[in-house]
Amino acid sequence: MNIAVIRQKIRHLGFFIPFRIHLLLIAVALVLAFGWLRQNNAIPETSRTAIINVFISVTFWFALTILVVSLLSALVPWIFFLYSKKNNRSVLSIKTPDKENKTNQQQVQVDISKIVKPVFGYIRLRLLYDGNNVSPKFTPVDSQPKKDFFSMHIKGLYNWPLKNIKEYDINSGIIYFEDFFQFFSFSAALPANSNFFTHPQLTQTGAIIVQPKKTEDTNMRIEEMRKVEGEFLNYKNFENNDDVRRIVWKIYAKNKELVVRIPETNDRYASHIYFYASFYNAISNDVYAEFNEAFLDNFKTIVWNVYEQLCRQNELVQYIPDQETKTFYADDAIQKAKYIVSTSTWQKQNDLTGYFNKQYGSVLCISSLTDVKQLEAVLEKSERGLTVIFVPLSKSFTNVNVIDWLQWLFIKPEKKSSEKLHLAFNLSPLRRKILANEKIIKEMLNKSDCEVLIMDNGLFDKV
Amino acid sequence: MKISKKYSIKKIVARLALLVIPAMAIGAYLLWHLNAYYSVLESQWITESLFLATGLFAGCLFYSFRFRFITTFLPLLLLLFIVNKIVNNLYTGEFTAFYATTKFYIFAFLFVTGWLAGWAFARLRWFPAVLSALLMLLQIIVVSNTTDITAQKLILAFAPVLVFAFYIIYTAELVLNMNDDEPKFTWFLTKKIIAFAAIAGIILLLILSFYKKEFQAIEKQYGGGKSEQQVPNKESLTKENKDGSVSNKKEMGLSGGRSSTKRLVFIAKLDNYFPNSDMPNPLYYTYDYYTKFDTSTQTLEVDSLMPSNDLFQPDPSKIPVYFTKTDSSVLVKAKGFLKRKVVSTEVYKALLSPKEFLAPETAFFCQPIAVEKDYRQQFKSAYRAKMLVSELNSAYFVYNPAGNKELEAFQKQRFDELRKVSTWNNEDAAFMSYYTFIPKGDDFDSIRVLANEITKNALAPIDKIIAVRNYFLSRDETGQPLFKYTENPGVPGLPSASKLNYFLFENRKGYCAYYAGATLFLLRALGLPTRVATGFLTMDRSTKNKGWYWFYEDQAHAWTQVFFPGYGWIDFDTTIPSTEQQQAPAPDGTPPITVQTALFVTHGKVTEVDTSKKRVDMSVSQMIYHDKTFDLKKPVLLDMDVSLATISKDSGEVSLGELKKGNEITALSFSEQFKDIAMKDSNNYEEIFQKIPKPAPIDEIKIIDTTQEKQQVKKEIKKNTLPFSQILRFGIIILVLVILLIFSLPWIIFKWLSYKARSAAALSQKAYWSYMAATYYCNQLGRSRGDMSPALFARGKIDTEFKTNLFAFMQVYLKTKYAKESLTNSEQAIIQNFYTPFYKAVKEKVPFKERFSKFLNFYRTINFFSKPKI
Repeated sequence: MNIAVIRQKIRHLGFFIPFRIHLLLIAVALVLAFGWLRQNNAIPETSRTAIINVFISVTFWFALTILVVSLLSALVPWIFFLYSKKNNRSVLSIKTPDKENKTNQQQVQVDISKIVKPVFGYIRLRLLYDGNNVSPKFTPVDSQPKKDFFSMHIKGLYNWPLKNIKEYDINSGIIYFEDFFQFFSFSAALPANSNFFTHPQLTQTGAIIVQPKKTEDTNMRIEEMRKVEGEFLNYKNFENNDDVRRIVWKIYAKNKELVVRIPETNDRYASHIYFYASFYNAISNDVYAEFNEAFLDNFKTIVWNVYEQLCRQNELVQYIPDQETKTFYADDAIQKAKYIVSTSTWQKQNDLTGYFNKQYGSVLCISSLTDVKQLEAVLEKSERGLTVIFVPLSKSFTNVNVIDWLQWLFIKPEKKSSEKLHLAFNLSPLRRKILANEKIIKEMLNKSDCEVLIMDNGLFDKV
Repeated sequence: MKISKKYSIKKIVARLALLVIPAMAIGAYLLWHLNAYYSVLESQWITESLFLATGLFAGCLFYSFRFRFITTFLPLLLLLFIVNKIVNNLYTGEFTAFYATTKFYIFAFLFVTGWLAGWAFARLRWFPAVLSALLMLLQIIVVSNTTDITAQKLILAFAPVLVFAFYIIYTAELVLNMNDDEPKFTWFLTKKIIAFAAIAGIILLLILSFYKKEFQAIEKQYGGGKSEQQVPNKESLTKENKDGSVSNKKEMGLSGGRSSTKRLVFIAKLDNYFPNSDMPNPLYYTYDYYTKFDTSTQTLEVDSLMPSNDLFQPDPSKIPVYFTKTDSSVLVKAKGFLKRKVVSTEVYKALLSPKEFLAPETAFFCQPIAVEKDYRQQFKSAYRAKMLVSELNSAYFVYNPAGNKELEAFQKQRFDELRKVSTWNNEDAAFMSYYTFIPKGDDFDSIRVLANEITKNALAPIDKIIAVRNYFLSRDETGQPLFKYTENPGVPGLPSASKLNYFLFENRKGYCAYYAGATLFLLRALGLPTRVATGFLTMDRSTKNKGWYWFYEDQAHAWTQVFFPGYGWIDFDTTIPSTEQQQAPAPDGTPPITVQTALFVTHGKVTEVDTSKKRVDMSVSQMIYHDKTFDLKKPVLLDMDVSLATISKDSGEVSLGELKKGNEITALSFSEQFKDIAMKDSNNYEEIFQKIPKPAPIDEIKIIDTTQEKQQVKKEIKKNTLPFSQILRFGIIILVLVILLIFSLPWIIFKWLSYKARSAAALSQKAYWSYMAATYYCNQLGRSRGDMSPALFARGKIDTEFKTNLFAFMQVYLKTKYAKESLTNSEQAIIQNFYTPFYKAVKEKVPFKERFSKFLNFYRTINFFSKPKI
C-alpha cells in the first residue's frame, strides 16, 4: 500500500468521525483558558476566586447542556435512519434535474426517503463518484416546499462545481446528521448507483450562417381535424396495407369510419444541416491526460454552443456523432445531442475521412488535434457551402501576462484555475506540436473554398 | 483585472452582519471598560472603537476576496509607518509631538488589531473558538476584580458574554457551511438565529436559576449583602464575616462610600502617655499596609512581598490563652530606632473577629488573655500586645489641636525633629524604588505636576508633607474649602476618568481612603517613601478611664505613613475633618479594669471527660506557673476539677458536654490554692505537679477549635476543587469506556451470535443463528457477501477459500426458511454439526493479527446489519 492510498483511506475514514473539528478546538480552548484561570487565581477565601469558580462552573454546565442537547438532536434521527436503512426503506437517488436551470450551473437533484432532519439541524451529503472521488460536503437546497411538517422525505438541489464536462457515476453517498451547533456529525453510507452528466455551459456566440445540404423526407402531422363527413382533404379511407397506427380513432369514434391521415411530406431541397464534430485525436496521447481534459472541455463547449446556436436559427439541424455513447432516452433531439457532446471523448478509431460525409455535411467542427492529411483529403473535394469551425486548442488556457503575475502576487488564484495548467502547458513539448499543427490547419483552411470560422477570439476560453 | 470572491456575496454580507458588527459592539464595550482603567487611552473610547470597527470591517471585507495576506498586510504596515513619519514631522512642539505620536500609535494599533481580527474572521476557521475562549477569560478576569458584588450585577456582566461566546461559534459555522443557493437566505438565517436565541436562552435561564443560590452566597459573603440593607453605602473598610464578626477588608477600593454604622468593634487600653505627663497619647491601631497600586483595578493592594515587611500578624485565636507569640524580626525590618519606646495594649474584642490582630505599629508581641466573667457577654476574647512605637506619633487629630497648647507644642516638636531628615541617600535602592513607585501615564503626570506646584516653597521633606496637608485644607478664591469630606463621593460620572484624578482635580470630595490614596501619590511623586496604613482611628472621648479607648465601626480608617530614616514609619493623616461627622451614639461604657491574673495555666489535649463528676483529665504539654512558662519535655497527665469552670470557645460559652476527648484546650486557674505553693527549683515542673492539689481546681477552660476549622477547610477545598476535576475525570472515563465499547462492539456482537448459534435448541432457530454467526464472522473478516447471491457467496467465495461446507448448510438453511417440507435426518445433521467446525476452519486460516484488526472495524458491522440478509 503506498502513501497515497493510505492517505486516501485515512481521509475516507475521516468522513466518518462523529464530531466536527471545531468542537475539539472549542473544548481545548476552553479547558486551556479555564485551567489557566484556576491555576492563577487559587487564593482561597477571596471574592475573586469565589466568583471565578462560579463562572467556571456556570460555563461548564452551559457548555455541557448545549453539547448534550446537540448530541441528542443529531443522534436520534441518525439511529432512526440506521434502522430504516437496515429495513431497506431509505433510498438515495441522484439525477440531473429535469428543468433547465437559468443560472447555467451544474445541478444535481438529491432524493432521500425515510429520513428525519435533526431539530434545528442539518442533513448534509457527500457523494462518492468515479471510483474514489468524493464531492465536498453539501446541504441540498429544498427544491420544493415541504407539504407537511413531519415529512420524512428530503428532496433538494445542489450546484456541484465539477471540473470536467462528462458523465459521472455516483457509487454511493454519505449522509451526515448534524446538530444545530454543527458539533456532531453522525454519518451513514447509502448506495446510490446512479449517474448524471455535466453539460457544456452556454456562452454568447455570434450568428453563424450555414447552408443546409441534406435533403430528407419529413413526415409532418396533420393538426387540422376533418371538418365535414366525407371530406378527404389530408385523409383517406383505411386500406389493407396502411399502417394501423395512422388510423384516426377520433373519427372512428364519431361515425365508425376507419380513416387514415395522409402524411404531409416536407421535401424541400437541401433542408437539413448535418452537424459534424470530430473528436479524433492524432497528436496528443495519454501522457498529457490533464491537458487533454482541458482541451476536451473547451472543444465540447464550443461544439455545443455552435450547435445550439444553429438549432435556434434552424429547426433542422442534426448532430452526427463520431463515437458510440450510451443510449440516452429523451424525446428531444437537442437533449440527445447535448448528452452525446457532453459524454464524448477524444478517440483514435473513427478518423475524419471515415466520419465526415462530404455530400451531406454542412458544418464540421475540428480541433487542433485533427490529423492534417485527413483534413486535406476532406477539404480537397468539398464543395462550397461547407462551414469549417476550427477550435485552436492552444487557446484553451487563459493567457498569463505581466499584469497577471503582479496580480498573482497579491491575489491567490482559485484552486482549480487554468493558470497553473497554462504554465505547465507552456513548458510541455505538446505545445510546440499543437502550435505547428494549428499553423498548418489554418493555412490549409485559408486556402480552401469553405466558409471558415476560427474560434480563437477568447469567447470560449473559459474552461 | 477581475478579483474573484472567496465567498459568495450572501456569505460576505452574512458574515459582516452577524459576526463583524456584533464583534464591533463587543470591541467598543471592551474599550469602554479599558478606558476606565487605563489613563493612556485618554477616555476616547468612541473614536477608538471607530478605528477598531473600521479595521475589523475593512479587514473582513477585504479578505473575503482572494487577496493574499502577507503581500497585502505588509504594504498596510508600510503605509502606517509612512503616516507615522508624517505625523512626527507635522508636530514640532515636544509635548504636542509626543501626544500626537502616542495617539497615532493607539489608533494604528487598534486599526491593525481590527484588521487582523477581520482577516481572521474571514479566513481562519478556528478563530471564533479562540476568540470566544479569550472573551470569556477576559470578562471573567474583569468581573472577578469588581468590588461591587451583587448577584444581579455578576449575572448581568457575565451572561451576555457567555451567550455571545457561543453565538460567534454558532454563527461562524452557520455562515461557513451554509449553502449559497438557499433561496430564502435571510429567512433561513433569521430562523437559525432565533433557534439559537431560544435554545441558549432556555439553557442559560435553567442554569442560572440553578446557580442563583451560589451567586447570592457570594453576594452575601463578599458583597454588600446584608449590610447593604442597613446602610446606603456599599463600600466599607471593614467586612462582615459569616459568623457576624467584623474583619478589615483586604482591598481598598476607591469607589462608593464607606460604612458608617455605630456598632462597637473593640475596646483597648493603651499605656502610652505624653512624656513627663499623665495625659494619654492615643495611637492609631494598624491592621494592614497598602503598598502596591494595581493600575488595572485602580485599587491599592496589600502586598505580602513588600520590602522590609514589618507587619506582625498573628492569629490570636490560635495561641493558647496566656501563652505568647513574639516576632522580633519585624523590629529590625521596621528600621526605626530613634524616638521609639515599648508600650503595651490590651484589646477586648466585641464584634472584631477572634482571628484578627490590631495594634499600633510596630507590634511584635501577642498574648491572648482571659476576659473576666462579668464582661464575657460583651467581649468574646482579648489579647495583650507590645509594640515599639514612635514617640512622634499621635492620633490626636493633627489639624485641630483645638487650642490645646500641649498638643500644639507636641506637634511643633515633632516637625522640628523630623526636619532633621533631608535625604534618603543611605537607604536601600530596592526599598526606595518600591515605596516611591508611581505608574506611568498622563494621569499620574498631572499628579506629579500638582505635587511640585503645591510644594514649590517647601525645602525639607517634612515641610513638603505639611504643604500637602495644607493643600487639602486650603480654600478656593471664594473662600470655600477646596476639599470636602463625604462618606459617599459616588462613582465618577465619566467612566474613563481615573478615579484619583477625578478626586484631585474635579470632584474634590471623598473619605479617608481618597485622601490617603491621593497623598500617597503626591508624596511618592516627590520621592518620599510612602505607604497607606489601614486600621482604626483612635478617639479619646472621655477622661473617666484614662488610656481606655472605644472603637466603633465608623472609626475604620486609612492614613499615610512616611518613612524617615532612623525614625521609621511615621503616621500622617491628611483626611480633612468631616462636617457630617457625628458623635458615638452612646457614651463609652465601663472597661473591664480588674484584670485577673491566672496563676496556673496549662495547655494540652483532653484525655478523658467525666461529665457526671465534672472531672477532666488532660495531657499537659505547656504550662505557665506564676508567669513562668514551661515547655514540658514529656506530657504530664493532669486531673482537673471543673465543677466551677466555664468552658468557652471563640464563639462563646459552651457546656461541658461539648468538651471531647482529643480536644486541644487551655485550662486556667485563678485559685488561691496555687498562690502559696513554693518551689525549690524554679525550673523543675515535675515538682509543681507533685505539689498542686489533686484534682486541680480549674476556673476556665478554653477549647482551641482546630478540628472544626480543618473540616471546614476540607469542605471548602472539596467544594471548590472537587466537582470540576471529578466531573472531568468522570467524563474522561466515560469517554474511554464508550470508545472501548465501540471498538469491542463487533466482537461482543459476534460472541452473542456465536452463543446463540451454539445454544439454540429448535432446529430452525439453530439454522438461523448459525447462518447469522457464520456470515457475520465472514463479513467481519472482510469476506462480505456484497451483491453476490447467498449460494454463490457460500460456494464461490467461502468454501473455496476455507474448505468449509457453508454451501451445503446454506441450502438446508434456505429450505428451513422457505420450504414447507420437513428436513431429512442428514439435513438435520448438517445443521447440528455445521457451526463449530466452520468457525474453527475459518479461524485457522485467518491469522490472529488480521482477525484482531478487522474486528476493530465498526463500520463493517454496521454494513452487515444494514444490508439485506438474504
